[in-house]
Amino acid sequence: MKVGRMYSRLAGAVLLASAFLLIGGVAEVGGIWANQAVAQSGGSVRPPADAKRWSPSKPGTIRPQGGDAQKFGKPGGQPKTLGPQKSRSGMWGDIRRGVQGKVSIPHQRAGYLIQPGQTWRTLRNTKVFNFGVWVLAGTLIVLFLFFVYRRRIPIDGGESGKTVERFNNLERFAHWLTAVSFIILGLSGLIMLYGKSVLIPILGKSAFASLAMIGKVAHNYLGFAFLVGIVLMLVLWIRHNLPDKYDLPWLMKGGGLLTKGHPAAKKFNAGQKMIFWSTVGIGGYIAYSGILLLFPEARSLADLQSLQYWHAVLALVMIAVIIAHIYIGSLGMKGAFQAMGSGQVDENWAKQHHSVWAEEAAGKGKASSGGAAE
Amino acid sequence: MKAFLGGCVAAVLIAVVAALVLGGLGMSSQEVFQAAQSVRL
Repeated sequence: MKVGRMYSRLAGAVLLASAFLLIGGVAEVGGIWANQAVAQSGGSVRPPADAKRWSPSKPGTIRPQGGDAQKFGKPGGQPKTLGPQKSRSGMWGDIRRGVQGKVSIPHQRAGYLIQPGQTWRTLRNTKVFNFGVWVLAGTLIVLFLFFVYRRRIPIDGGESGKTVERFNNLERFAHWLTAVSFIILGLSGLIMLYGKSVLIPILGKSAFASLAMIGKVAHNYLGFAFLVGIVLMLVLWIRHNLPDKYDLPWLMKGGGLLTKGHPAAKKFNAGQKMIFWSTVGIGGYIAYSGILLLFPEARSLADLQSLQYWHAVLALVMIAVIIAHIYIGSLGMKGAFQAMGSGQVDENWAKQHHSVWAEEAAGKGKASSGGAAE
Repeated sequence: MKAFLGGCVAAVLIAVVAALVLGGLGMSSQEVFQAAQSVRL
């Protein structure tokens, strides 16, 4: 009896297992049959009847090569959303001139394949480039001719042996802060403008690249030191640089640079006032535009190009002015450098070039008999 | 001479401080610009 039950359970289990095998086997065989049927019908999976199909690439389109539908067992083709676009003969010209495409990211300027800067680039590499050559070369030639004509302007009557304080420590500090930063800014700016033409043939590309990179970093950050120097000088010297009755006669006589006699002047003569206001005005604009150029995200490309153009042009003018200033303050005039060197100038020099100020200084007791100026 | 050296040192220090503020503190130039714009005097 027990044996009969066992057989009947075993038979039930075999029957159940056979049923599972039968169902699974039919499904598998059905899949194979289905694949065989697809293969026999042409080797591709047919898209739905309402699917949009692009036509194959034709000459005159810029559509990438590739199939329009996924083949059975092959990688997928191009996305259905990429349609063919007609090319035009002027298309790349338009892109080069700065036609903007559409982008879905917030940075809209990424829509430019080529930034619209060809006009600015040409202007910078021709007009600004040549303007700088003429201005700087012209200044050097004029100064050379002036030196040949006038030589070093001497102190009338020689050094007296007595000195008078012309600039105190704070004034000289402000001057040198501005001067040192401007010289490095000017040199690094000239490297940016003329380095490719002048320095690469001399130094080579690798050395020039290092120099230009250092110059660029210095240029970016020393602008702030220059700005601080300008503000300091403005605070310290603005009251001495306001127009007065001595300016017009000084200008009428050419500052006495071309003649022996010297017109009267207070602490700063009309020429020095022009340099002061050039430094504050033009130098101030150069610093202002330079700082704006450090934040390109905040402005349009056209604004940035305009700012850079005026930044470069006015900087070249300023460099020319400062070259003349350096000449007359050192090689061109005996006794002038001591004003910013030690701060003490010879009394005779003071009477010769700043007679009104010399009298005022003598009245205030600034003169000392500590020997000749250094 | 001291005034000249002082000017040189001050120029370098100001440039270093500017570099630290603009770059070393991890602020992008746009963030610095926006911060500067938000200042009310």
